[in-house]
Parts: sequence; C-alpha cells; structure tokens
Amino acid sequence: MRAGAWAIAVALPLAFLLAFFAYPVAAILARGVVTDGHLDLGGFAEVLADPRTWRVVGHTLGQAALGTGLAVGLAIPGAYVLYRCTFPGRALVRGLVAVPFVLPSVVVGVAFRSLLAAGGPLGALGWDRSLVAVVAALVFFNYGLVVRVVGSVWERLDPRAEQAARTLGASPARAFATVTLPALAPAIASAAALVFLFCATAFAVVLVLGGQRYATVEVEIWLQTTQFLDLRTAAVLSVLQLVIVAATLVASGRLRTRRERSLALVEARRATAPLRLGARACAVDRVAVGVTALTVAALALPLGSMLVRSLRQDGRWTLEHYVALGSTGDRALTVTAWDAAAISLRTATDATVLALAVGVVLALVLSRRPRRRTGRRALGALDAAVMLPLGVSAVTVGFGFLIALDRPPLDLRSSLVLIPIAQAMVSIPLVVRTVLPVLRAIDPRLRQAAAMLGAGPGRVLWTVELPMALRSIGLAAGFAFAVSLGEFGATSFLARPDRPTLPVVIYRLLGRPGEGNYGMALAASVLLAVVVALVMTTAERLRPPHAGEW
Amino acid sequence: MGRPDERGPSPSAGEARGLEVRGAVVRYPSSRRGSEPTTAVAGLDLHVAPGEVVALLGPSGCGKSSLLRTIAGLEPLAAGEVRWDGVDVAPVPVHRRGFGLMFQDGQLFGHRDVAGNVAYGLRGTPFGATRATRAERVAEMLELVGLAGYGARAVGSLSGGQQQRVALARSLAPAPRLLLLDEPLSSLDRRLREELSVEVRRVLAASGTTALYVTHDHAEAFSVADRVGVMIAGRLRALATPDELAADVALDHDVAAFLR
Repeated sequence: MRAGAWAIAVALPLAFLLAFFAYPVAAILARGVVTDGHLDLGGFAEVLADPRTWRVVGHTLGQAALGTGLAVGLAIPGAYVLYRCTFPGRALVRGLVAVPFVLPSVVVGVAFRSLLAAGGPLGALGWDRSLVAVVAALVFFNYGLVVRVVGSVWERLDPRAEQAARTLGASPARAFATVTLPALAPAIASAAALVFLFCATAFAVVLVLGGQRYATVEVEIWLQTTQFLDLRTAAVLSVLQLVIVAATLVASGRLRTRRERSLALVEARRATAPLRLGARACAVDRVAVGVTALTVAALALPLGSMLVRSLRQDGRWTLEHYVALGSTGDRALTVTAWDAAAISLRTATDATVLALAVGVVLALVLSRRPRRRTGRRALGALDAAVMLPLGVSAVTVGFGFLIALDRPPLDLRSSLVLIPIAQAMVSIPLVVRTVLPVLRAIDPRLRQAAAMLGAGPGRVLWTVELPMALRSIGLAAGFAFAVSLGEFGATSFLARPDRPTLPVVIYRLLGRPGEGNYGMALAASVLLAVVVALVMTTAERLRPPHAGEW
Repeated sequence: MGRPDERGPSPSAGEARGLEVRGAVVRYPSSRRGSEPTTAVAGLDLHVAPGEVVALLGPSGCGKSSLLRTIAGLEPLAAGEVRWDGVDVAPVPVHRRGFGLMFQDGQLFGHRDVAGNVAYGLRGTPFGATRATRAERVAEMLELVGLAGYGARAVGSLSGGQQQRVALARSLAPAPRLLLLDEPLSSLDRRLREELSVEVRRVLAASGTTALYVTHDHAEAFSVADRVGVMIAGRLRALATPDELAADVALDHDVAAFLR
C-alpha cells in the first residue's frame, strides 16, 4: 500500500475512536468542570469534600488490591501445576480455569448469590452482600488470567538455571525464590497490573454482590446517574476514575516494557516434567497441587450451584425456569428472555464486525516499523491511545454516549447502532492486543521474500500477513463476541426498554420480587454462560503462539 | 533470461549491460540519538555481466549482506548508484525490480505448500498466465532442484537441505534478471553444503541466470562462481577468477590473510 492507503488506514479507525470514545469522554469531563459556559471547579471541590467519595475510592482501591493479591497468590502455584507439570486431564483443567474470565459479570454475580444468599448451599456463612463475596468474585474472574500469563512464560523457562542453583546447594524453595521467581517477576507484575485494572473497574459483579454498601467508583457513577440523577457528581467521579485508570495503565506499561527483557526460553516440552505425587514427591509439589485442587474446586462451586438451583423448584427437579424463558416473567419484562437472547446475538454480531474492522486495521498500522524516529514516536502514541478504552470504564463510555451523542453533530441516541458501537469500543483493545503480537512476530524477511518475488505491498498484506494472522483474528473475533454478549456496563445505559439484551434482562429479573423471576434469572444466566463458554472454547482452539496476553 | 516485459529501455552507448554498482555507500541509522551511524558499505564498485555468477566472499560484518539487500532495494543507498543495463534502479520499488533474493534461512511461507511457494512469484510473468503454464513451470523448477513430485508437501515436513532447494526453486521460478543469494547454504552442515554448492552451480548454469552470491565459505565461493570478490570492511579489495585468486597474484596483505 502506498502512503495514501496508510493515511486512510490510520485516519478511519482514529476518527472512529475520536467520535465514539474521545468525544463522549471529553463531554463528561466538560460536564464536571464547565457551568453555563465557563470554567467552574466548584463541582470538584464539592464532590472531593464529601466523605462518601473517599469511602468509595477507598473501597475501589482496597477491593482491587485484595482481589489482585489473592488472585496472584493462588495463581502462582496454579501456573506451576498447570503449565510446568504434565498430567492426564491437564487440558481439561486449563479450559475450566479459563472460562470465568470471559463469563458475563452479571452471570458471575448471579452464580455467587445463588451460592451465598440465604437458602443457598453456603448461606449459613452470612457472606451474602459482604466484602468477602465481592473479593471472592474478583478472584474468580481473574485467577485464570494470571495462571495463563505467568504459566506461558514458566512453561518455556529453561530449567537448567534452577538445576544449576540446586547443584550449588540450594534447597528447592531457595532455588525457586532466588532463580525462578526473579525470572517470572516481570510476567507476574504485568499480570497483576492488568488484574488490578479489571478489579478497579469492575461493575456488575460489585453491583449485584456488594450493593451500595461496597460501591466502587464505577458503581457510584451508575448510582448517581440512574438513581439520583446527579450528572455533575457522576462526571467528577468519572474524572476520578480516569485518574486511577491512567495511573494503573502507566504502571502496567512500564512493567510491560521491563517484561520484554530477554529470558532464556526453551521449547515447552523440554521444560515440563510429569507431575509426581507419590512418596518421593517433594513437599513444594504437594502444596502446589493441594492449593490448585482446592482453588479449581472453589471456581466450580458457584457455577455448579447456579446450575443446580436453576433446575430446582420447591424441593424438586424441574425445567420450569427454562420453560419460563419464553415468558415475560412475573410482571418483570417487556419482552421474553428468548427475544432478549436474539437481540443479544444480533447486537454482539454487529459489535464484533465493527471491533474487528477497526481493531485489525489498527493492529496492522501498529505492526509497521517506520524507519524515521518521528514515525516510531507517532506509533507509540497511537499504541497507548488504543489501550485507553480498556481502562476507561464501560459505565463512563455508556454515560458519555448518553450525554454526548444525543444532539448534533452526532444525534444517535435513538439509533440502534449505538449499543453495538459501545460494545465494540470495549472490545477493540482486546482485538488489537490479540492480533498485534502475532503480526509483530512475523519475520520482516518473510515480507521481503514476497516483495522480491514481485508482490506489491497490497499483495504481501493479503497473501502473507493476513493468512498468518488469521487464527489470531479468529480468536479475537471470539473474544469480541463473548465480551459483547456479556457487556453490561455501557449497555445498561443505552438499551431501550423494549429492546433489552440478555444481561440487562437478567439484572431486571433479579430486581423484581418473586421466586419465579429469580429462577428465570438463574436459567437465563446458565443459558448465557453456556453460549459464551461455547464461543470461547471454539475460539481458543484457534489460539496461535504469541497471541496476546489474556 | 529475464522478464522481457520488465527490461528497461536499451542501454545508451557506452553503458555496460548487466548489473553495475558505482560508489555504493550504505549506512544504518544509529539506534540511539547522538551516536554515529554505522557505515556497512563504504564506496563500492562492481560489475556483473549477463549470465555471469559472481561470489562475494568476506568475513562476517564486512557489509556483503548489506550490499545485497541494497541492490534488492530493501535498504536505501546513502550515496552512489545501482544500474541494470545502464538504467538507474533507485526509483523502482523492490517488487518491480525483477531481481530475486534467496535468504539464508529460506523464509518459505509456512502456510503454503511447496508448489504454492514456488508459484508465488509467477503472478505477472508469462509463466503465471494460466493455471496450466503455472503448474508446468512449478514442475519444471522442482525437477531442476531435484524435488520432482514434492509439490503437495507442507514445507514444514522438509529437511533443511530440501527447504533450501525449494527456496532456490522459488527464487528462480519467475526467471529474475538477477538472482541475489545471501549465504543460501550456511545454515546447512558441511557435507550437505559441499553437495548443494555443486548443485547450485549446475542449476544457475542450466537456467543461464545472472547471479550475485554472498558467502563466508571459501570452498563454496570457489565452486559456485565465475569470479570471486573479496570484501573487507565495506570495500571490495579483490575481484578475480578462482584460478587467479588461488594463484595468489598481486593480492594485498589483508586479502591474502583472509584467503589463507
């Protein structure tokens, strides 16, 4: 492609990001600091002086720190067992721990409540609507992510360095602490930053499990907007959220650069060994296996509880709740749950197409290596800008759409394209981060070989780069589709009452009294979880080496 | 042989035919601000006549691969010029130069089978006109490199030597007017290298290809080329037939030391 084609390839996605991300977010910022056309920081002073604000910020940071610490602490033995050791059924267990990360947050909320609420298997513990429930759900979500990020480095780490330490007299624990852990530290730090980001912006799971008592900034924005109709406070909180997110992104960017230092890596099959648990196994192995087995069982518990309770009514087994999906519930909904499922599929398809179109073009642009320093700088800036929507909360995006896109120049509020666009916004960074590493890993000499055989840049793109990136694009499509299906933060702002998506329907059902409505919410959650798990297990089969960090 | 449709206008009086490099300088920008750029090729003249095979021999880091990549158009010239049949190729982009390049490690396309790799460069040449002409050319090339019948094989299933044969067939298939070979055999073991260098010589002669062959292996250079050039520190320090070089006639100290 010529310079002109590249200019278009940069301009179109950038215009999309500007119109549907930067503009709405800027509109929110303006809401907080501009009154009657002039600058007014009074809103900030007011909100920042309110102790409620600091309680919310404290909850956000505290819950995120607890969730991140626990997820990382449990995932390190998990990464060892699932990536460094081989045993029968390993692929199955790896698949199981990968599922929670892509489950819709509303579904996770429902699953935990089915376990912890009065009448649930663990109801007697009194953990319903407590900090324990929120943190447990955050760990549930992110455990698999840390296991994968750390495990994929660990399984290729040259074991000879640790063996050398052992021959020098180090115990297994000391060899781990002094040789292996430092080698893994960058991967652990990078995973921790990512998890902290996800925890700090968690929304639906906190809303469902913690309620107002454990509200995070994200939940508070939602409450202020939809319950108290105080847009100014919500805007100031959005700015606050942006600050937290930007600080985390900067920290994770630093850690990612550090992670790119070279490690002595070997092929996975040379670094892994069969798991031994017999009399001669070492104590460290036994502890790791024990912790991992308990964690995996704990991950399965809420999902199992949700499934069982969706099949029970008045102490007997029944499919009633699933039959009820064809109804509008007990004065709860305007459409049936099946209708909502159809709307969800349709919306998620549109969002996936949009996210792929924008994300793949952006990944192609970002994979270039310009000769000039200014070109490299510009690409670096674009790289950072693309990651922002990942950090900026979905609630902020949805709220931004609500106040920015309802009047000229962009009046789309009643338009049906708004929800797919908002969902695409959320998944574009995922698409870019999945496809880009694969494009970057293509040896530049392969492109040169094609050019030497007479292929122009367009044909090189079409016959060399796209075929090689195809699997990662498939994986990205799966991610985008799953994320869009479960998206709740932005969608809950934008969905019209007569066209709700499945997560919105589940949330509405939970808010209505009646055993029937609750059972229907359980059944709908199981349905959504099954669809998302199917999409992701299919897409995961396409995962190529080097693809992304989730 | 050459691509008739891509040959430049006929050379003006006094211009040499074939490849002509004059005063070529190649520099790599410094990776850090403030430090000096590296000069890989420091003012080099070279002429390769049509049908001739010239080998460039030199220690690693002498700039021979940089020169090759510059002739191919993959690196820009800092000074000097590269002409084909008297026409400056600087404004011609890589894929329109009609030059071929064979990489040290083959760079085969893993997502295409052997035939798909060999056929890749045929588009836009007379051989790529129809499915039949394409298949015929692929079969001809595979026959030439001793891999007849391997067309449907996945490239990943081939041995290192077979992969380099496929890479050679792929580079030769579009009948490039000049073939550049960048250490094509150095990733192979010694015995295979000796065997294949004789083979490459035969294949280049059979197809009448003009070629510039870069290597750091003396035996390989002497068995493949009509003339051998010795490159040291970015300059061409000697250029003669293998017999003349072996006879040690009037070689300067560095070259003699390198050839010893």
